[in-house]
Amino acid sequence: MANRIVCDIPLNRAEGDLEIKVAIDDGHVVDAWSVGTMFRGFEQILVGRGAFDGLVVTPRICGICSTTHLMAAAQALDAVAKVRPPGNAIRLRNLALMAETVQSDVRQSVLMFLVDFANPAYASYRFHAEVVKRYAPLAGERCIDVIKATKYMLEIVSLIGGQWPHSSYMVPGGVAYPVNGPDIVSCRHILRNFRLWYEKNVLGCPLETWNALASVSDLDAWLADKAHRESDVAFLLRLSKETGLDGLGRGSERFLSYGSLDLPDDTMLRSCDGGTQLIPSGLYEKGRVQLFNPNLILEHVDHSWYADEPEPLHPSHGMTEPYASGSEGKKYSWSKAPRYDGLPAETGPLAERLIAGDPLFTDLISRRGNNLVTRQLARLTRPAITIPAMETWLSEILEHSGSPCYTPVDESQLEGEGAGLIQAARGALGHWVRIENGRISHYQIITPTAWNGSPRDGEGRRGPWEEALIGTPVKDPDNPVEVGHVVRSYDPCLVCTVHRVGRSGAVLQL
Amino acid sequence: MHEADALGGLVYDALTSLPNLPGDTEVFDGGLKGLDLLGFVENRSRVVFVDALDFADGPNAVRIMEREEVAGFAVNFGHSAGLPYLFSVMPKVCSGPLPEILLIGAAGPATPPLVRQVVNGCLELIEHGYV
Repeated sequence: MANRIVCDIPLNRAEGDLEIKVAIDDGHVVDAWSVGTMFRGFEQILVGRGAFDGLVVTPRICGICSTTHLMAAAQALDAVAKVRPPGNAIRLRNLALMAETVQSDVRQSVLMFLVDFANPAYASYRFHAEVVKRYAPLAGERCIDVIKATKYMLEIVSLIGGQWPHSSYMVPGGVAYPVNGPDIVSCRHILRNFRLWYEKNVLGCPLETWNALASVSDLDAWLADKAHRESDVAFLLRLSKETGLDGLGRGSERFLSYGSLDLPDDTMLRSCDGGTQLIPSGLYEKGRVQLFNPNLILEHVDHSWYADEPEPLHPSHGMTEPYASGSEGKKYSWSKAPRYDGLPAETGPLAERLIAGDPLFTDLISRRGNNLVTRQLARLTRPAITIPAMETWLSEILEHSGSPCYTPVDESQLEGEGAGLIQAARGALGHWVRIENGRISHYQIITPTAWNGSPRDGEGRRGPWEEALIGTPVKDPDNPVEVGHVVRSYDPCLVCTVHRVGRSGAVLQL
Repeated sequence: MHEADALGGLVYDALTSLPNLPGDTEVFDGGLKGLDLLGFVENRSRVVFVDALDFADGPNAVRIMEREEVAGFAVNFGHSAGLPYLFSVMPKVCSGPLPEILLIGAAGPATPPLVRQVVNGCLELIEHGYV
């Protein structure tokens, strides 16, 4: 093995497509730009292809949340075909999506968010040695434990979908094949083991105890109980308080959910709003939940590297015409700027909890305002809501064993438009498709990160995390860890290569 | 897409089209996955990875690297946490014995000569009893 030459990283460099640029004045962020540095282009790949091709192509958009794209693509085709999948097909689709989301929630929270507390910027804090022991990248005890535990959750997706990621078992009308009883039993064992691990290590208490917390005072009392002191949730709360992060990353207080997880006709589970989905849709603003109207979604391209349009377009009419020359200094991102009813909106697990009327998170927002800690807490504790629902649906699949998993759809007869709107791990995800003469004539996708990490719109309004960065203190411009905390609290589905632009124009990497 | 990103897929296609791979050899297309390749490497004795790398000595270079060397490039977890992250945490998270790991890295656009060179490298490792 002589003569080896050390490679110049990055390996697997197909990502690396987010830059955050911030202007710092007097130790605080005074302006911010979210820059998507790569063109996605999946919409063009799909035009002209067969009606079902989105089921194979779109899961390849992302290796982290490919099941979410499969679900959105399948639901868009359900809408075109005007078909409702049978109950067990709905359960199987939902379970795979939930398993992917649960593993993502825990991995992101520990491996991407909590690890930042091991940053040398916190070396003088009394907790630092303990945090390094728990959360140091690549070596922290909790990091290694999370990798071990979460890899089994993805086996649920594999058992249901045949593989993970990039499975294509969801089809319009249901799923491509039923899952046999022993595989469902295996899923139950995996979930049971994960629940025990999650309760012991992440929450530090039974799910029921956590889900019973209904106010800030309940949360404070829970945190004061030494029995919970060693959990990841307790560490998140204590570290954030000691470092003052609970006052950062405010952003907008406008939250959007498309709604997700259709309820089968004969399920024990109920939607909290009496609707047809376990996760309700809506817009939360100023303490009130408004009905969600998908027609109010528009995308701006004024600051995006796309050909200008006379006015913002709804994705059912949206265009994807890259235009990277001209308008230098104005256009700065490959992400478009989606807006709901004309304004930016934050999406993700916190939006889901608020729109569902969760009393704890409603009280947190009411008393403390939106901030990065509440946003991250919603993500880290979302499995406490998700796991019991998964348990119910796994049991119901066995109770309805042998029932159909597919309503026939004739691909050659598919014509028309449809949309698949769901909640992915990171928030609202939409696929809009039009089928003409058996071929895809139009496809548009808006990802959760397009909502949260959008550039400015036609009115010059910043996107949610651009706005959340304003006012963030930066103690050391050479190590702007605070900027990373804010952006990561949104769980960007891009590589979080955070850069800083100072007055001198120098760019540093976090 | 970087031209180099086609390398893994083209090498996979070439290897799976060969008629005479030893029976105990399996070929996987790992795509861009890093940590999520864990399930593919657990409980195997030896694994050879193929990936496009940026070498300081320019295009068309092919190098064989050991797990520990690649692991040295790992910094942190992210959505693009790649092979360095996987190789770094493997000793602590693998179920069963840790497999022996080699990486064949190639620099530059995935031209037919470069793909052939990498495929030949894989076959040589198989022939000499590595896999």
